[in-house]
Amino acid sequence: VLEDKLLIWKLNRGSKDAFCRIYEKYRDDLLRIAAGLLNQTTTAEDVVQDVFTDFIRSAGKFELTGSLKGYLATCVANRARNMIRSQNRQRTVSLDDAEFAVSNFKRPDQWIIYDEDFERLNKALVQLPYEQKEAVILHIQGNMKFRNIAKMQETSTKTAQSRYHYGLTKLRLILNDEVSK
Amino acid sequence: MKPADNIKRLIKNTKIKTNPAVNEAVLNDLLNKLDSSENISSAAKQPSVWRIIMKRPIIKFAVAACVLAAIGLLLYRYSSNLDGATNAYATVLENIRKAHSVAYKERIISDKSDNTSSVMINIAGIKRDDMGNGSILISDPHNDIQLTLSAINKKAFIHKHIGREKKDFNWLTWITERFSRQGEYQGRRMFQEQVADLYVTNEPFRKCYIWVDPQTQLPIYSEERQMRDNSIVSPEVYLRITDFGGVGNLSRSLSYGGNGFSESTVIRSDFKWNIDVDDSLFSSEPPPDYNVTETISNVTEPNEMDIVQTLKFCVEVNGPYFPENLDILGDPNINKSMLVKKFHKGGDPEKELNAAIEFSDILARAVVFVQNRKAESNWFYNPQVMPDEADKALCWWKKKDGEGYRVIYGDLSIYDTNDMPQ
Repeated sequence: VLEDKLLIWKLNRGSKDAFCRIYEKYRDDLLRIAAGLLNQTTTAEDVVQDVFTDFIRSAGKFELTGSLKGYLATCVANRARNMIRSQNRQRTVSLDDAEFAVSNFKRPDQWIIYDEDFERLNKALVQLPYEQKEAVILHIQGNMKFRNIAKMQETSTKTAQSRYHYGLTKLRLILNDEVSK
Repeated sequence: MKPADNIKRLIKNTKIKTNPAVNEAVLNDLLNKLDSSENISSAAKQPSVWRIIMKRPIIKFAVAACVLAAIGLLLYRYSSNLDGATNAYATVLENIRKAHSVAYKERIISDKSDNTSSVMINIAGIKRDDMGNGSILISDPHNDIQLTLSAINKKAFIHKHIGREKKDFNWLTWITERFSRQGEYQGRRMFQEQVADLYVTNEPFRKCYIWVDPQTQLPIYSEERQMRDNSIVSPEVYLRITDFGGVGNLSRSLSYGGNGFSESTVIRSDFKWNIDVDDSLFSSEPPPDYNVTETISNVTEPNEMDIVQTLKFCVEVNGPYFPENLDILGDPNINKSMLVKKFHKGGDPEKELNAAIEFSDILARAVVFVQNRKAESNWFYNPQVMPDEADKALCWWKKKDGEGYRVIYGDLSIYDTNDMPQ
């Protein structure tokens, strides 16, 4: 946290090195979260790039109150939610189903490189209801507290916790074979 | 260790790998944005300077004038940035519109197929698809002809359309149309070892990613994702010569497309704009030594007679009942078995295949007719009615003028009624 506060202080004074450090430090985590939430490679990449762009725009006046990773993860989750809402408004087809074939299609300029483990985990995550998936990803990968997840999901902390536990149980059933191997 | 801990560990420890070239391109783009951030310079200013300024009225006035000028410049800059994105895409569209020819590779990926072809469009707007398996497809919009040439067995298929309203359509305007939506600028990225601007166009059931060469302001790559609207049935027919007892690879297909009809990804790459092309490659005349088969498709608006002929066909093939619904006839597996049953009589397989594909057009039009009515919640169908029950309404819909209903009875006679059938 102290390092992040120092990086923000430097970034607010225009330090490119500070931004490079933040970018290197959190880029992969944010891409992992976005890819897990969206299951669409290109959209997930767009979301992370947009979050960094907004973050850059706030440089000079940015104040860090909690963890920087938590802040950026929340930005990714909010954008992912908005993306899904807007896409659902545009079509009736299930987002995951529609894009699944595409998500596995490798483009030469693709930012995220899928390996077997990552693909297997994402395929399992696809099968969870969105709120459960969000709770699991944000708590485990985003290190977010249930209180903050609940606030984002506009629900109680207990509900966020139960979504997390249900999600984890379902994941355990889906991945049971692979994990026990 | 508990199983739940295993899962947590798996989620936590699954690492992601990223493409270093893209990492760098994105970072450079972000650093450029950081350079142009106005917030940073204001934050770096020393408070003591402001105190000095505010103490002296003349300097305060001068500074106020400078601030106003700066705000003006800033507004100009941001407004030109916003318009810049739109204008940049407008330039791309204008360049596409001005193109007199284009060549590109096209890959169409759907749940049923994955085909790649090399496409060329000439100045007359005629399209040539080299399918890569020795087959060439020439689409001549001026004469409403599609010519398929199969070099392997020296066969030519001329497919003519009748009943289509003459429109000012050609394939150059078509390719412009593929890109002509509001393109949202996504930033500059590394793409296939070159710098490219990425735009995204978004509309219901279709999203397109377009990579543009910043030098030429013309597309170099596009990925068009078409999503399916589950409420629409897309009639498709796939028939092979082997279905009619023949041998070889000859196949014929028919499908009614459009936004929302099917789910596919179309990748267009290796664009070459404004190239010199040999016009003889676009001739819709088959070579003299080719065996020519000609088919005609009626592309008028589907109508009630398509429904009557389709229902008659269903009773003849699968009677004595009417089908449970007409949507199922759009399924290529269902219609294939029915078409083979009707047209495969042990004669010339190629003739039977052609007759089946010709009739399948009526079948597909009937399905489209139903979809059009369903979209207006104006399609009623009662499969309990038996053939020849002349007094029972089999299907009906409200007439376009809103005055009463059009009804098809069990004996396939059609009448107008004032009241909705019970």
